[in-house]
Amino acid sequence: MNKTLRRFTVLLIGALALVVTFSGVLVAQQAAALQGSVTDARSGQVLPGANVFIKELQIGSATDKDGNFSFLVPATLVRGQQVTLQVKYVGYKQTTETITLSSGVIKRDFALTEDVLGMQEVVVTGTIGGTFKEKLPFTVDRVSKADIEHAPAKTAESAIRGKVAGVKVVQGSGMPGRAAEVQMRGATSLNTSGRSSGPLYIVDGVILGSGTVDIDALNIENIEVVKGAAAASLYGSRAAAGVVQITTSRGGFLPEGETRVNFRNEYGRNQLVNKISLSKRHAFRYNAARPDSPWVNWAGTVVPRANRVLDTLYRTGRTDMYVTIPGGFRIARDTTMTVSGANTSFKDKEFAGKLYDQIDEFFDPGYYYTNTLTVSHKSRNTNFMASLNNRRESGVIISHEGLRQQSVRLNVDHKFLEGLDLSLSVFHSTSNNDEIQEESGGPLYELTYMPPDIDLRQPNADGQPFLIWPDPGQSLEANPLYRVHFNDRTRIRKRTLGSGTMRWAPSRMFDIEGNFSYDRLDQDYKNYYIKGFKTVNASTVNSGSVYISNSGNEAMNGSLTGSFNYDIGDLSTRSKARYLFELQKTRFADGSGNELLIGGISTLTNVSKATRDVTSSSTEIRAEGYYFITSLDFKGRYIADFLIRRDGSSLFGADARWQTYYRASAAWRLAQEPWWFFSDYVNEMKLRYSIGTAGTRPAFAAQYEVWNLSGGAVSKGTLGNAGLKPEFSTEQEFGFDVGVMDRVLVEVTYSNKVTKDQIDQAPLLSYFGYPNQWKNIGTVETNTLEASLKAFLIQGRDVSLSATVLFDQSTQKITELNVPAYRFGPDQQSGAVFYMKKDETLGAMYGRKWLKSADNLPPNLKNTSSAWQVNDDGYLVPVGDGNSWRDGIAKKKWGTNVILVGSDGIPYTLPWGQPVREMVGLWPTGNDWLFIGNAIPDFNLAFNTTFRYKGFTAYLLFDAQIGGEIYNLTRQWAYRDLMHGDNDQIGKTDETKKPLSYYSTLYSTNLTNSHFVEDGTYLKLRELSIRYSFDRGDLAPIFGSWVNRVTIGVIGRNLFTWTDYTGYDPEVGRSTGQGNATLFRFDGYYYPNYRNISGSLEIEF
Amino acid sequence: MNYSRIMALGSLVLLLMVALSGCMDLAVENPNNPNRTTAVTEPKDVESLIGGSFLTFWQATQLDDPAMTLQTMADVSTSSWGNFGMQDLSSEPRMPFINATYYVYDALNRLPWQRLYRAVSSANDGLVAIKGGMKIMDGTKDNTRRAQAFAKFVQGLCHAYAACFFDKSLIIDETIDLTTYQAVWKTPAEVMAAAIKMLDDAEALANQGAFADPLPGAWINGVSNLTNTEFVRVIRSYRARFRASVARTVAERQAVDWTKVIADAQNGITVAEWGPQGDGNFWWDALKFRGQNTTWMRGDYYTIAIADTAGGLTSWLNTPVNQRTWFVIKGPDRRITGSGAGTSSGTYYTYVTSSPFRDDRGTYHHSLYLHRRFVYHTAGATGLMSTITLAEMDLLRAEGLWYQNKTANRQAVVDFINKYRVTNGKMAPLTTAASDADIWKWLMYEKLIETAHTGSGTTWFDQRGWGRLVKGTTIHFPVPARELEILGLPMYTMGGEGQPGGAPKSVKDLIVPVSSVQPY
Repeated sequence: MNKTLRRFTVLLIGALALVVTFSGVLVAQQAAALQGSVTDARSGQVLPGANVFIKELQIGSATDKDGNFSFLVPATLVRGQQVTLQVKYVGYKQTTETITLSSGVIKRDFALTEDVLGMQEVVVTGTIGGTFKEKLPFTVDRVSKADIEHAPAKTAESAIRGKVAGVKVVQGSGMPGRAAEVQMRGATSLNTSGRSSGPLYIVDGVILGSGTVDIDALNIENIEVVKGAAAASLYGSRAAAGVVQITTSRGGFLPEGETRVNFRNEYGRNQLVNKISLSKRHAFRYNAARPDSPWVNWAGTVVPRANRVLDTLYRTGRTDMYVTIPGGFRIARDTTMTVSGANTSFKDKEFAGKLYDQIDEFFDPGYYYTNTLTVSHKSRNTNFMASLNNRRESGVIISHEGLRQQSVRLNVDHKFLEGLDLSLSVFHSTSNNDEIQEESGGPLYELTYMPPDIDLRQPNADGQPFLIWPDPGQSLEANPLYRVHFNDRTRIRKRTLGSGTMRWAPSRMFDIEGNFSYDRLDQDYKNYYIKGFKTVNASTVNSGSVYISNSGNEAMNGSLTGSFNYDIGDLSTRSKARYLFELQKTRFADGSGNELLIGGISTLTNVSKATRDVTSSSTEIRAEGYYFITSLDFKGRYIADFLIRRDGSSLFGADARWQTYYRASAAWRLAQEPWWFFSDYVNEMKLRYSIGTAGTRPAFAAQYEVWNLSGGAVSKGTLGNAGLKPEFSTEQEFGFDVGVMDRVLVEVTYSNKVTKDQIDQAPLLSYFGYPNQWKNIGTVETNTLEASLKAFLIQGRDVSLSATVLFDQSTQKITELNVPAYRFGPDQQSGAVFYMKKDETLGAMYGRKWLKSADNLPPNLKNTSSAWQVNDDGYLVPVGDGNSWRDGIAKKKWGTNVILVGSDGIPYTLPWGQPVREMVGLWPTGNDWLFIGNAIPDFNLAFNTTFRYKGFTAYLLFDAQIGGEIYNLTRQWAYRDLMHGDNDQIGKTDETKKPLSYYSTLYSTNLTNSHFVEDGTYLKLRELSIRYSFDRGDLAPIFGSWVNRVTIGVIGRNLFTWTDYTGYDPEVGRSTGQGNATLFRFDGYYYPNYRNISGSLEIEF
Repeated sequence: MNYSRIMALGSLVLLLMVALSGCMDLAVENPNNPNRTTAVTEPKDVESLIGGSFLTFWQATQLDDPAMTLQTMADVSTSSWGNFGMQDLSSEPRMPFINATYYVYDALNRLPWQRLYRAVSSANDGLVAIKGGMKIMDGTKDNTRRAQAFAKFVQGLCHAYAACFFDKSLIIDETIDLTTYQAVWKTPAEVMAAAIKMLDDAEALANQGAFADPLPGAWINGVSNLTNTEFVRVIRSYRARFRASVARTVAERQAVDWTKVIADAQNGITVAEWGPQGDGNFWWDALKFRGQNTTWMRGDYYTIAIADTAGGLTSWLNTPVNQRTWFVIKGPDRRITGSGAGTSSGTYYTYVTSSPFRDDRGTYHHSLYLHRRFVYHTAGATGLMSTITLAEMDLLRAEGLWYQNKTANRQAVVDFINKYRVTNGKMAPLTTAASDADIWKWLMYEKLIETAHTGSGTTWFDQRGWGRLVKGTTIHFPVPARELEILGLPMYTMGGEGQPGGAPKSVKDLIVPVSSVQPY
């Protein structure tokens, strides 16, 4: 911190010295008065808060609540010269007028035209400075407050979902307080262990050092999205995955002298959208006439549930072929039988007693509310916005308390002198999140094994609720309700953001700006098992267990910028040079222990000394860089932009500390050409091209030689790499923007992104002692086509209708990989389903593939094709010559073997009717690790529309993914104990019924296989809002003049999902480990995304 | 503001930026982990490096990969869970091991390989530092020789295990310059010879006289105050085990230098059980933690029912494999069952009323007997992790004596068997009147029952050398696919019926029927 403070002090003193040195130029003596009004050209309504200023002198003011402005120009500046009076107002086209500046009153009135297509929205991200969207030579998307306020997103990053083409937002886990993952124009990195794969986030000038979940989305003024290196080079080695800049409200658009108070409340309910299918039938001997004790053995004797026997359809041996072990499992014991029970038993029997829908028992609608109080004010030299926010979100799982969050924000802008401004932003948030264990072993996992005939709420023998082992005869798994109730996982986050920017513009030609930002996150996490916690098998947590971690992350950034604007005739030039530095520090400590001495005390002092274990770590990242950018604009038609940046970072290897990035862009606005003869119809036509480079940085430890310290021993871990470079992304994008009659805007962009020097763990020869080394090992190439169409169909004073359609399509391929191909993604237990291989799609899934066609039989079984048939599941199964796949029951074929003599003369034995592995090479030892799916969608679509009639507004947003596959482990693992709904055979004919073993074959010992690759296509009604605003006129009779507006509304989020996907939600993926949910479309017991319907009331004073 | 003034101002700002840039020190140390410089520069750190290498050896051998799988391949335990390749490698008919980087259970041969050579690397680094003249002092006490001996010990253990486990491997000692080294593949016999030499060196160093301080308890967790003479006993015990274990076939087993094995076993550990203490975190033992957990593993009838007197095993073996299932053992061995119907627990195995495995994966995996001898390790992975037992040493001696001279050594062999059979099993003593076949059978049985869930792979090594592995069982593992890929060498694999590296005979042929003349 000391060095940083020193650095900042140098910056500040430097800036102040400059101010003092040159401040003499600011001393004014007398004034010329400019006065007038600003109105809407179409309606004639006054526009309060419009900005009117003299461009050359940077002097001006905002209009008051009646739309009037007035300001003085000091006499020393009044020389009878020609100056440009510029008028700006959000949502309207800027207008200028050349006037002669002379003493006395100068009166001008302006009528502004609405900027329907948003072409004059000012974009600041990735650009040299505030730039009109129409003049951008690359793509920067902008989501404005108006796009967000219909159905305010719960997190900042999800506010851009369905609103920007080429951006994939996946909320892999719906647990309250979890961030969504964002990927722009395909993946940039293969392996993101220990680092973020998402874009760089900037909030009110604060370059975030941690995630975005603490940033509430309610005060957002706008979000700018830069999708790749072609636009993001300005941000150097952190920007290859894109940049998202969030700006919150500052009160700057209020009329001068006005204070506005806004009180917004939303209250609603959360519900599960889709259920997964669990088994409701059984396959045992059963006496339906005695639902109180229905289980009988082969002798017809009533037995306890755990001792029940499979009701095998046909047998060749004695009737006691199955014997049940007391308290346990059914065991085949008849040595004369030729088929095992699993082959001749079918889950086709109904229960007679009471049944439970265990999904309903587990999920429980929760509630959601937010209260936000915002106070904004603007005076002549100061504007501010202060906001308090309270939020509660309890998710959808029974007794899950979920998230409680409070935050406070203060944004202030102050003008000390003409041309000398200070902006400050401060944000603090604190949250307490009750978390649920996800993935295998957690309650969502346990739920998929629960039988429908057992009451999960019945007590244990000692009276403690939620019987721990509900199904001892069938499943090894524990009651999910028990874990939810008796295992507490709590995360407390405290987040503080602060930034200050001082800008001094002594002249229009030159300004300097100093910025400093600070981001701090402190987290406390506790995972606590009560003393006496029950498990099916003995476990260390039975005696109680505590895990506590504490971590902190501080990020500090500072910059000093000089800007130079100069016009030469019709050529206007803008140039900027910036120096910036970054310092980030993290610390982490945790401790754990078991065997609580005293029940109910969850401290580390309460665990036994022998089991106590602690770890700690810290990191520090330093970076600095500088860039020079220049932008040329000739007559507003020909635009060019050049950038070069040097970046130094402590994260790079010692021999690769400094890297250079560049960007070159150009745009040609054809519609501004004098010869453009379509201007009545096509009033905007821009061609643009940009090439840029940007990087992504390695994780902290990657460059170092790391020896592990564990168990009191030291051993080699990772070999260091002094030459480790950032991943280097070069993106070219070209596209066009077409505006038609100020009503329709079409933007089309094609992007090619090549990211070389992929940072990944390369395996080393073991005798060196180091298993791995982080190296730059490959290249990923993505190609993206994205298009958006915005149509403003009706634009009346009382009525308007607009719609937006977004489309994007990406391919991504590993074009170079200098390490052996490897399995990737979730770990082996959860099926490492993704395969990294040269010339393969990044996102390709590999595993066992079930034969579907005789064409794919192994060469040595091709001659047996007549003995195979394709069954009703589409699988090619061996049935023997002369048989049909329908003969299983009729001809008692289930459980028998088909012996096929291959062309090699060898007889091969295959189970009748069971799916068989496809392989490359000869049966049975060929390679059966084959391509089974692709997580990358064919394309994505989004559609939103807004209809307004007087005070009434209706808005809806659909988004859709077409194609793209998901690996459904939640379904696969449920096959282990045959508890998935697929295993039920009721309603099927004897010809189509499948025995238990058929599904066990498909389960395949939980090995990744094609049966569980599912189409992820979906259409979602993502957001819906219906609101009515009562304006001052409506309210005056009741409240008098002090209530400005009251808005009531109904908001729906994630309302409906249309999909064939069988999991809870096709929006699922794994976000931990080596990648993120946008790539790893893997469904492995994640908290499902849920529906939220709420009512809102907003009062503005 | 005029143009020149702006230019001056701009220049000043640019100057300030230039002054600022490059002045940040971008060289940041990693405060969390040591590196080569920190680990092999200071004598104390070198000592820690050497001391820590045994943990790496432990983790190379005693964790899930390969300990769990080898025990099921030996049919001493059974499990049909897919984890660690147990189902793939212990189901019948036996299939080849899939030696491919994409194989889900590729850790089975990859982790042992990586960790063994990592432990070797640590030992070698320490030895190189000492060779370079480094003295490891504690005040005035010189502990250099102690460190050197321990490094040679771990170097020897790792090479010995590699020789037993892989079909070929590498000899990497401290004399090799890795910067120029090209992989030279050695046969198991060659690697074992090198390993024996390393262990000999360790012994010689230890035998030079008392260590200034005994071995620290952190090196072999919880084994504290190991003097040079006690350390030599541990070296000899391991050497005895591995010398016998490297054999792949019955002929190779018989050709082992049993005189040396006997000598080492005789002068090996004197305590009944030796091993590190579990800490529930880094030091744990898969065969005791998971292998005794009711959901994971069961005793395999192939082995635990040998003493069955009710014909259960015979009947089981006479049943086609895919129709076999559990049965209740009725026999005199009180380690397997309590007295009576066979449904009560013995001292090493507990009778359980259920089998966690699924019928469709083969009912022959079902068993009602769960190992529990080291049950204290199952909950928190703590307590003594018995790795070498006196029984193992005694029975190695018995085996050697048997091979050397069945007549002259008959009494000694029977005495060794009875030492465990009678004391632990509460079975009637065997007499010299028993047939050769019976004595041999009961010798094998005692060794399997007494060493089950102790040293990783021990029962597999023994079954391999006795020709008792089920036909087609992988008898040794190929070099891991990942290593071959990096070296650019062709893939190959081992195991499967009639395939290279597949065990030649069926165990059924080798089970000797229970003799009616012998007392039980």
